Amino acid sequence: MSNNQQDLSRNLGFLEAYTMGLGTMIGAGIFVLPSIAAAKAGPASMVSFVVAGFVSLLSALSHSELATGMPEAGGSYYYVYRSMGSLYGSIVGLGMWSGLMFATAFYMLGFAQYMTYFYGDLPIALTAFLMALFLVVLNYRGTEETALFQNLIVLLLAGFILVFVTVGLFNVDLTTFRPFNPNGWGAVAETAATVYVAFIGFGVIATSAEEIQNPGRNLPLSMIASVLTPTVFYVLVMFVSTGILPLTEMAKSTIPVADVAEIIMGTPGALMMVVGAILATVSSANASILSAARVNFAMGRNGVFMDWLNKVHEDYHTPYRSIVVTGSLIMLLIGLGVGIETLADVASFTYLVTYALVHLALIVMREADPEDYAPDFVLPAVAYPLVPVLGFLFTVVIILQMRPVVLGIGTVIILLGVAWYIFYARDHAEGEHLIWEALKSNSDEETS
Amino acid sequence: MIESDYFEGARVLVTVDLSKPGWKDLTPFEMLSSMDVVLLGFHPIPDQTTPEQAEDQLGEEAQRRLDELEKRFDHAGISVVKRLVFSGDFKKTLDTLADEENCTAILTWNERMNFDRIGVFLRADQGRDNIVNNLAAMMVNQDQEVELIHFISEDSEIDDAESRSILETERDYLVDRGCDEERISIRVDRVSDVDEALSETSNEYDAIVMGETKPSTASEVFGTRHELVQENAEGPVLVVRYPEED
Repeated sequence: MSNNQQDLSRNLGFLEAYTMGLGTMIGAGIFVLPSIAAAKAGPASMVSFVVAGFVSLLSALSHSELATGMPEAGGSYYYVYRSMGSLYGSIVGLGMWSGLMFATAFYMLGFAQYMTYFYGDLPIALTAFLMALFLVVLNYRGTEETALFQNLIVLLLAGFILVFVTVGLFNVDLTTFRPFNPNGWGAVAETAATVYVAFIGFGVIATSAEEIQNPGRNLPLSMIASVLTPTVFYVLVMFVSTGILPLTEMAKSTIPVADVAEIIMGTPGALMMVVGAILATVSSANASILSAARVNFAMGRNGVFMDWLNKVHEDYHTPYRSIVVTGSLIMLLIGLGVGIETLADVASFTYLVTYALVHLALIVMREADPEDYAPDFVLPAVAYPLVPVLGFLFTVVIILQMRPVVLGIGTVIILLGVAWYIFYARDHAEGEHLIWEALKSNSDEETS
Repeated sequence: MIESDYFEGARVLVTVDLSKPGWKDLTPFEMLSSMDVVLLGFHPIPDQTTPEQAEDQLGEEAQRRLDELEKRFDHAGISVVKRLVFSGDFKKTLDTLADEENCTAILTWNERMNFDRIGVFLRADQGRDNIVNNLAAMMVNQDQEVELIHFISEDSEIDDAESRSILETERDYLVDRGCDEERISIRVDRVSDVDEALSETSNEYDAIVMGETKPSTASEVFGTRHELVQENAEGPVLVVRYPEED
């Protein structure tokens, strides 16, 4: 049948997919996190970024195989749902959704902090709240064709960061790095979990697997590249920041990269980084609100969540209910006064749990080996099962380093997912999943 | 009299925005009867909504509207291939579908649908065969007035006489293909800003025919002339595609 949506042909090459991935990756995190990271782990926090990048890289590899095997809306959520069923689907779906809310609240507080550069007495929480409200209204009414605008923002941000890093490298004072690791390697690991929030965006490439040309090659390459590039950026920004601003000042700065830029480039440099931070926080928040609606839609489609939420508006054609609910919860988080670090931590937590389960999903798909699973990109023999096993273990280890309060909130979110499964999803979701087949095929092999 | 199969290969993608109430008033026009028609029902969606989501909830109604338009074409004796697309990116959708369906031209079917006086934008540095062929295919056995237009930028080296002779050649070509010479006029203007002239002039005529600009990086970023006209014209715009390079 020619009368169909799906046959719009593939038109993203490597470069387009890479740019798209970078767009979601080079965002708010790098502008807001340096002071939080430095306060926790000192200059050694640059190692935290390396660790977070490495964990994301493993995750990107598992995602690549699953995405080319199941090019479905919903990405990570769908892989877990399809392979492990609606209990894990509920946990991951609810986890991603709340992770995006916590991340958005984090971006909005970061936005407000950078706005104080212009007006020192600005009430942070109120500013963040109003900006979130503005974005919700904007998304409720719908936005169109922002691809060009988004590409310009990415280019601008990458440019700002490159200038910052290049000028910074000539001004680094090596004595500032002492002590390099004031709080020990445990703190470095915990910081890796916190800064993971800067890496959660790469899954977006996986969700557009259908549109990528030659996905067997371009999808893994663009995912790997769009994890590695920002990792290098982040580590360099951390290197420059902690090498210029002494630790005590760094730790209490709410506009870290602007304070560093002020020292090396004067007011114009600081202004550049403030503008960058504002653009980055707003575009990251906007992208998260969009992603939340996508997750809701994917869940509603499988009956794991109420499809009621996905109704599109008669005039604006936007999923307005999903946007209003997501937006209200974001504003609630800001209103409750949850700290910026905790917001980042919880967002990281939910995505670490999600990506850990995606590694398991890959193992289930491989073992169950259903007929319709024929990924264009298959992890080579040396990498399977090494990548998903290592990825899973690393993720769990990092999660276990997090602060008790974060583990507490995170566990509540997981339990909400379980409760949701028991009271709703179990009765509504489509039943088919593959984990039993995976176990069965294994025990068959053992007995034969 | 020339038979319409003389123009074999003229295949036009006719686009209609099904989300706007204006779709109800659209009636097919005889001019298309000599061409193959692919009818694209386009439904724009915001970034917030996925195409699947829109199709789930709006697909049935959109399909009904498209079917009704197809019936109107049937009544007019024109059989069409139907396509229905939900997308946030009109330009990309047009390009993709025109490629898939091998269309030589794209007609944006606007609410104001009148072909009595057609303005044809031609350029000196551009292959005109495609444009004029499509135009001839549309005009065969019809009685519209056509003006062939060439805007010369003030700093261009081409002089008016040269430009006029190019247009006369094209007029002769149309006449050879059965168009009435008296209905074809020629207009050469020297202007300071060609883009501005194009968008201002586009509403002096009932309909516009023009060629696609050769795709380039600059046009990717800043948009192209035909997009400018598509956006500004209140009447139908027929954009003849840039021939594919094999």
